[in-house]
Amino acid sequence: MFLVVAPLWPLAGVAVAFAGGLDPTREIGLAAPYSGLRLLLIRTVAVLAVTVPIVAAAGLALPGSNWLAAAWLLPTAGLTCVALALTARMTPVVAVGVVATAWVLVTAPTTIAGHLDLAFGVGAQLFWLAVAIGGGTWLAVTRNTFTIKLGRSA
Amino acid sequence: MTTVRVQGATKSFGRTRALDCVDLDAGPGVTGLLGPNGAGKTTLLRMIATVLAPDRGTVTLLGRDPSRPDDRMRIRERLGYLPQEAGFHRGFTVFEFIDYVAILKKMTDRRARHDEVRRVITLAGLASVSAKRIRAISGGMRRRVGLAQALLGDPDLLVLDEPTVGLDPEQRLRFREMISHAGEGRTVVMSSHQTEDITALCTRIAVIHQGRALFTGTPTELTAQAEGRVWTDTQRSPAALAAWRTGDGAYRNVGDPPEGAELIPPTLEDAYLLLMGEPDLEVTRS
Repeated sequence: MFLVVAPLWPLAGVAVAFAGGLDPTREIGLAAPYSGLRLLLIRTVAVLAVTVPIVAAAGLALPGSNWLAAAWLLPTAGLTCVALALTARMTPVVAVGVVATAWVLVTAPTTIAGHLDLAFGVGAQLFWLAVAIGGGTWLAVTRNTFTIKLGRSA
Repeated sequence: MTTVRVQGATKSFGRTRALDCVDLDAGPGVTGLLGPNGAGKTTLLRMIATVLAPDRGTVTLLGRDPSRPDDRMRIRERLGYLPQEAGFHRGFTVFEFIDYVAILKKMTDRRARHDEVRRVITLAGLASVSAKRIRAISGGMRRRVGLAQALLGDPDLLVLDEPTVGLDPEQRLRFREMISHAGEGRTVVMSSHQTEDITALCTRIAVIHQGRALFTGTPTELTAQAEGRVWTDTQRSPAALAAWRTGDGAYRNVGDPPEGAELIPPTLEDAYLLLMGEPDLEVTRS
């Protein structure tokens, strides 16, 4: 279950970084000319820089194969990119909620059934690598027109 | 010259219509939005600050359309905004906080940015507390920090939401001075429910009530609407819409005067009360 839960921590961090009630300067920031996407990426990197080493250390401390400590990294990258891309359509908190729910719904039953390879094997890793690259490329291409949905904002 | 043009702006939050087909024009000088709490002033100001888009109607700011991403960025580069509840990172010093906002305003050159931060800190009278943490300064000083960040980059359009709320009389006077200074040569749109602030500062006003603009014009024009409808008496007149006892013991009555009433010149506050149609106001001033 570690592999199912591990990507959720960095995702939760991304959601928290943009939760309205936790950023006292949010209203001032909304009226600033700073690119919302750039701010989103900076905060995401900051969140990942803190959460990924912690979750990785937790993975290393767990009994079992060492690949467990790394098999969640590409899914995390892919899920984060999908969540960021979705912020053009919904608020970051909702985007993370949608992605996290979908992730749990797909991977939890597979893991419980003992099909770890199906959810975290080489094929799955390649899939998440493709998702991360695709999502990152899409964000880069649309960076000038990308508008993050921030609740009641323009 | 019109810097701010709002036409037919309508905005709803769920079933609540916060703004209902509001028109507003503002140019250089201070334009005030006057109205009770919940009237829709903040919603209108958030639109002017490019933070909120109308459901219907158009907003044009500095000749640009904020619904277009490119235009919105250009507007924001020339905009200063003090929200009603400006939040602060309380662990930051005053300098650090304003510097942070300056970064959000795309001031990338560190030396030039720090010079600009020092300029607005001096302008807002914060030089003596610039190294203090925000949690250690008074509410009035924090309000000044809010104004200082709004003044970064010498914006052409300044949007101030209830800038004098919570300030003591001396702080309010100092704030008025700063806002008046800021309004020289640029467009300031501010909201208040303090008629004294509006009278003192604004060249144009809009009275907002229940999401609608009940009046737009100059303070003198609004005051003139109460001409012949304010009188003094030894008692509260039953015909008065509002009445209160003044310091000299006489009652100041606002409404439709009885025959032979001793009429006195109205104030903006009288005209505002008449416009709002406040039914049961009786205040005693000592």
